[in-house]
Amino acid sequence: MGSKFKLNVVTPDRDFFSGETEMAIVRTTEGDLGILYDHEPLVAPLRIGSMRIKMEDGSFKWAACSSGFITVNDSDVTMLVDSAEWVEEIDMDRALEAKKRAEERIREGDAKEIDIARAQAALERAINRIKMRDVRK
Amino acid sequence: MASSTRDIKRKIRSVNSTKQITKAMELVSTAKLRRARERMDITQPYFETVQTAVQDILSADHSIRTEYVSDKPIENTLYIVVTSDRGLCGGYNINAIKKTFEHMGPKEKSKFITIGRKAYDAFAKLDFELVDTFMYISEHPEYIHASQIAKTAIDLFKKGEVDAIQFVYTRFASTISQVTTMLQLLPIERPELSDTVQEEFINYEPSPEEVLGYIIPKYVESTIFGGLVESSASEQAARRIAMENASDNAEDIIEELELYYNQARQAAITQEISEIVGGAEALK
Repeated sequence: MGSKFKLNVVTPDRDFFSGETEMAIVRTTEGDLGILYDHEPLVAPLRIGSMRIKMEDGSFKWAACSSGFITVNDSDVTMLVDSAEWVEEIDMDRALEAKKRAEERIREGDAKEIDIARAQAALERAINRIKMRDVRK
Repeated sequence: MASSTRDIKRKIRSVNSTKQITKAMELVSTAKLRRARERMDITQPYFETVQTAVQDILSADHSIRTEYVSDKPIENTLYIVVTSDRGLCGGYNINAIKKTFEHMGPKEKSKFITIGRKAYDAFAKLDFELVDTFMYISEHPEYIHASQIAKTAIDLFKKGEVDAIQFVYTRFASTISQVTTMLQLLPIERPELSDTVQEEFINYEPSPEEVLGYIIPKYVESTIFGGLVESSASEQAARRIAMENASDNAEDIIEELELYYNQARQAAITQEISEIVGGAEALK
């Protein structure tokens, strides 16, 4: 058993995760990043993707998360994300609906530029959730 | 007695019905305040974590250059003012608006984003330049509102149309005390180098500039969101107190009126008796 470090995952609606773990793997804009005890201080943006946290029994718990950023310092690791949910929490119907809605919006395409960007982000989030749910269930 | 008993009775009734309304509003605000506080407790950790993260990054490394930390003199300012849509909440709205006026430079150098009808009314009436207005969100602010506000504000800042962004909201100190606060969102003031900070090496992926370019808008967004949520709790708290005071005052007035009423009634009885006695005397 390796040493543990303190991990906090915070979203605007709740304290998603707060506790000790041996290892966490997150998806930064540069690629997947594994964090172990005593990682060097780091700040990096996160992209829409997945997050894995090693649990007591050695298994990984998966979660889908949207963009945010991670800060690693000597004492703890903090992840700030716009939203996060454990794989088993993902609401498949909602994600599918969001996907459809976003696709429609992009297809129509006559709206303002900002709306398209938002729809694209929404689409990416929805696809991420659906994928996570399918793969990790 | 100047006013007849019937007049006083009517007045008591009127004050009493006002009291019932204020009492009801007080109860409604109490319930809403509880909900707003629960919400605040949930969002607060995020808000605080983002703030410390940004402060930590900026204080740890002074070599970072970003457009969000500039030293150029401030000429044009954008004010984001948070008020409520409805009145009857004591000094809550007026304090926020007053705070803005106190800080404000010349009219043509100020732009506004108003949140809530009261701020809109106040600034639109005086013909100030409103960049954007948000109404009917102050009781239930959502994160999406905060990102819209932040986006508009940051765009203006990037285009150079404004040099500073000031955020006026009401901090929730306790249920009986709310403090109107003005916070400079951008440019971010560099925290002073504290003595204890050793030149710690922090790794930024992919680069410090890019990381800050991502994090600072996030910081603005979450600060606005935190401010909106806090203001909504403050609004309810302010309204609850205002309504509590109004109910208390109504009670005082009723008490006083009841005293007058009894005096008037007594006087009428006395007068009647003396009339009867006088009449009986005359018949003798």
